[in-house]
Amino acid sequence: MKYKLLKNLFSRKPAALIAFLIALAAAVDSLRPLPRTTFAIEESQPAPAPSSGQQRGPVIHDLPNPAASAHSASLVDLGEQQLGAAWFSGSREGASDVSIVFSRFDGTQWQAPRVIASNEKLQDDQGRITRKLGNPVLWLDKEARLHLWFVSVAYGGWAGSSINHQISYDKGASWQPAEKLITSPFWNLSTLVRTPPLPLSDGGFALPVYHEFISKYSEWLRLDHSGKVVDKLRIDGARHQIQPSAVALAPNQAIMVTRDAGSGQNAIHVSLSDDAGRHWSNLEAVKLANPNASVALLRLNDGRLLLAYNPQESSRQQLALALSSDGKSWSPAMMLEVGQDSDEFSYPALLQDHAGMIHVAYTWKRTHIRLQSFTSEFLDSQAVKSRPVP
Amino acid sequence: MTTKLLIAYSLQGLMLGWLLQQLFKNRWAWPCGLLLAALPLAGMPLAGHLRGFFGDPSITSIQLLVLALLGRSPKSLAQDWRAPLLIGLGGVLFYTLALGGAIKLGMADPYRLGYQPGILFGALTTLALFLWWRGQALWLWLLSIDLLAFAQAFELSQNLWDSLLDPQLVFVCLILAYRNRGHQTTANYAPADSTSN
Repeated sequence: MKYKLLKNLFSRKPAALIAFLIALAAAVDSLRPLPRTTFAIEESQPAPAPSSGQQRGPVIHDLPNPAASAHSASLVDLGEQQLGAAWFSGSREGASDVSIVFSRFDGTQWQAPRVIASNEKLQDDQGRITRKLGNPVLWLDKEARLHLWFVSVAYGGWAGSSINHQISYDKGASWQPAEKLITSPFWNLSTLVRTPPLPLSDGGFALPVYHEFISKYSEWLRLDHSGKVVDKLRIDGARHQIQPSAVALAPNQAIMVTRDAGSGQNAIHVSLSDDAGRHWSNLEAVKLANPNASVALLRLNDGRLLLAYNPQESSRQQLALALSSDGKSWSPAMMLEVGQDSDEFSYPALLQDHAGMIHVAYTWKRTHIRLQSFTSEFLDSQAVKSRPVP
Repeated sequence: MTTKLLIAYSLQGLMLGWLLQQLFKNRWAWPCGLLLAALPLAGMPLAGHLRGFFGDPSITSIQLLVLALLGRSPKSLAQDWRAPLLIGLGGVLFYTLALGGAIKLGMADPYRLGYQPGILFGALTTLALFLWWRGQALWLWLLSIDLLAFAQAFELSQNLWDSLLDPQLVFVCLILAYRNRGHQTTANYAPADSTSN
């Protein structure tokens, strides 16, 4: 019996098995564990600017929009008192003429927006059909590379989105071809992005993303320095919670807030990580309404958390700011917009620049992007006037 | 058009050719598939539309396409129902979990195993030994090339699953399992104990 077993083993053709073992050895490099990174908090958080003590704000800019509709803005501090903004612009959301446009604030005014991603350009870059674009996200890294992530769809609705990534080495004047991020095994379906990444100490990024096909939930991508996906994590308790917006609180700590996409609670949910995003606590509702609308989170340079959100359970008529020291209990800070009927003020983006000015950009009735800018002193003066969150 | 894009479009053409071959059993199916893939449609070749929807095929699919083109498809796939059924059902389960179809039961994501593929390597090594024991040398070669391509980052994805499997392969396996029901083949080469006398 033993002899027969040995005979069986050695009489089989060994070449294929040897080839397999060689291939396994060649691929063994991929088994190296990912470096244990922390959040590069100094990169994402401007140093506190000396307080002028002045209450300035709000300064309102309506950004020039080249088409009938505008939605989903993203902001970036380009340094030297310059800001950048990107949003999607076209005849209507989801139309084939929608493109991603970029405008720069040169210190005095916003320049005419330029198209930086379109269906045609993406098709040329990637050699595959694209029908619609959306949700641009800008980020300037410590090497002065300006990143743009955005979603594109070949066929079907937004649930069929995939993420694209392109880089500018001259702060938005010219762009490298867009690369597709492969994040799903099934036709690369359904990974979407909406909010900025968190820079990591190894030069990579953590990108909060979400999934919409079959079920809706939040996810967390880890990207390497070149932008390739090296890990992906589902957030616990994230069913019906999408569009996570996250900020680092310390090198190992981060907080995430999400849009409620049908949990029945109509509330913003919060999750915390104590190990630089490798694990997240169960997402739990806080006492902030959410009408299934995008939210934005920012850590101010004094350490407080600032949230932009729609403070109603079933309408995007109002847009507000709230402040918190721990992410769990929130106080109203100021109302940005109070509309009526079918008015929509939505999809906020937050930024604090190196001079300490706070900027919030948002969709204004779908016709253009509005930007409000103010100092933290102005924000505090408004917060005193506001009622506490019930 | 870059060489990379030409290869990507040709692969879509070969997929079409394979499909036509299955339907019409004609030797002209392959060149017809390639020609169809090159047809311009709304400003880009049909291959670009297929690529936009399906993405690029896995390394396993590419190898099986080449073998089919050469008329050397593995017997266990072309004439048997067991291997295609195993791949097909395994694929359905994998994609259901990876797309969050069972999220009510938990947040585990099997696709994540492909980024740090230690567990997958263990499973593949076990599978390789089984295949060797069963005399399925061709499958071992296929797996070896999958791993080499993954090591060389041949695919856009850095996830091992994307080298091993794609939805089209799973779909084809389910069709083959149905078509070959009731058929069984022996190993691609005979086990030692059956040839020793």
